[in-house]
Amino acid sequence: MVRLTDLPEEYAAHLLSLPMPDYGPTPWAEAPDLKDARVAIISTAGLHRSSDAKFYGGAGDYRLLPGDLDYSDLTMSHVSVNFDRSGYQQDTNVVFPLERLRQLESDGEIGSVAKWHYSFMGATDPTRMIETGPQVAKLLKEDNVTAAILIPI
Amino acid sequence: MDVLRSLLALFAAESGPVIEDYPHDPPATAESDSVWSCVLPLPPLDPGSSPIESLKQSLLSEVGSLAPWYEEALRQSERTTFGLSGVTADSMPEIAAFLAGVASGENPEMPFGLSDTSPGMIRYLTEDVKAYYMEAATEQPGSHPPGGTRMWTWFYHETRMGKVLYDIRDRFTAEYAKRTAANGGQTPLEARPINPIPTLFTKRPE
Repeated sequence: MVRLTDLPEEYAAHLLSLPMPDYGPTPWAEAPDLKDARVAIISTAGLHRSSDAKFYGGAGDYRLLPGDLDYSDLTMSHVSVNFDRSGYQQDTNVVFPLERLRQLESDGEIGSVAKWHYSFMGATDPTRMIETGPQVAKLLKEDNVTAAILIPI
Repeated sequence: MDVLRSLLALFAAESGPVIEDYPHDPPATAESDSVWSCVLPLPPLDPGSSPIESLKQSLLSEVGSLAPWYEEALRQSERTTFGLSGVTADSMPEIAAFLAGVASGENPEMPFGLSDTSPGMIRYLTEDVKAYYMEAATEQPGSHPPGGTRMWTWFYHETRMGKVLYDIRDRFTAEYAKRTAANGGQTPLEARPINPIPTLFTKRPE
C-alpha cells in the first residue's frame, strides 16, 4: 500500500480525515502452514467478469471471481475519476494477484488456490458490508479456504 | 511476486496484530517520472477552441497515431483494461467523434448500439479512452512507464483528448449552473454533472 508521504497532500489529508470504525477486539487465529494453505483473494478494486453487473458507487455487494479466471474477462467498474488505474493497466496482478498465486501453487509454496475469489467495491462504507461480509466468510469456509488475502484498493 | 511472498510470510507470526512496512519502493519514483515524456508522434496541440469538424478530425488523427501502440500493447500483454462501456477498442474512432461532439455542445446519439444513454455512460467511455491512451503510452519504446500522476499529467494536459474532457466538464458544469439558477438558486434534484477531471487536475493547463 502506498505511503501517506508519497501521496499528493490533498489525498493524504482526506485519508487521514476518514473515520476509523471500531469493531472491538478480534481473537488471534493461528495461520496454517503455507504449504498446506488454501488461499483466496478478497479485493476491493470493483472487479468483476465482463458479463457481471457493474458496481455502483458505495455498493456493499460483491462479485464472484473463479479461480480459473482469464484476465481478459476481467473488468473494473470503479469509475471515480480520482481512482488511479495506471498500476492495474500495467499489471492486473497489482490489484488481483491470481496469476501469482497460481505460480506459488505450482511451485509448491502454497497448498492450493481457492475455487472462488471475491470482489467488493472500494470506497464503500464498511457498515454496508455487514450482511455480505459474513456471507463471504461462510462461502470461504465451504471452499475449505484457510488463508485469505485482503487487498484494499 | 516479492510483495505477495512478503505478505504470505506474515502468516508465520505467532501473535498479533502484525503490521509490517514493505521495505522496497515502487519502480516509478518522482525522480524517474520527472524525466518521462511520451515519445509517440501525436499531432501538435493547437491553442484555443476549434470548430467541431476540425476538432473531430484532429482528435481522430491523435487516436490514429496511438492505434499501432495500443495494438502492440494488446499483443504483448494479451489483455486490455478497455471495455467497461461494453464496446471494443475497434470503436475508438466513433467514441472519439462522440466525445468531440459532446465537448462542442452537440447532443450526439450514443453510437455503437449502446443501449445505456445515461450520463454515466460518458464516465464509462472516459475510462475506456484513458485505458486506450495509457496502455498505448505504456508500450512506447525506450522508457519505463511512469507512475499514475505523471501519466495523468500527460493524458489530461498534453493530449487533445484531455482538452476535450476539460471541455465536457465545463459544458456540463455550466448547464448545471443554469438549471440551478432557473430553479431559484436551489440545486436541482438530479445528480450532479458528470466530471471526467480528477481533483488534482481541476485547473486547466496554461
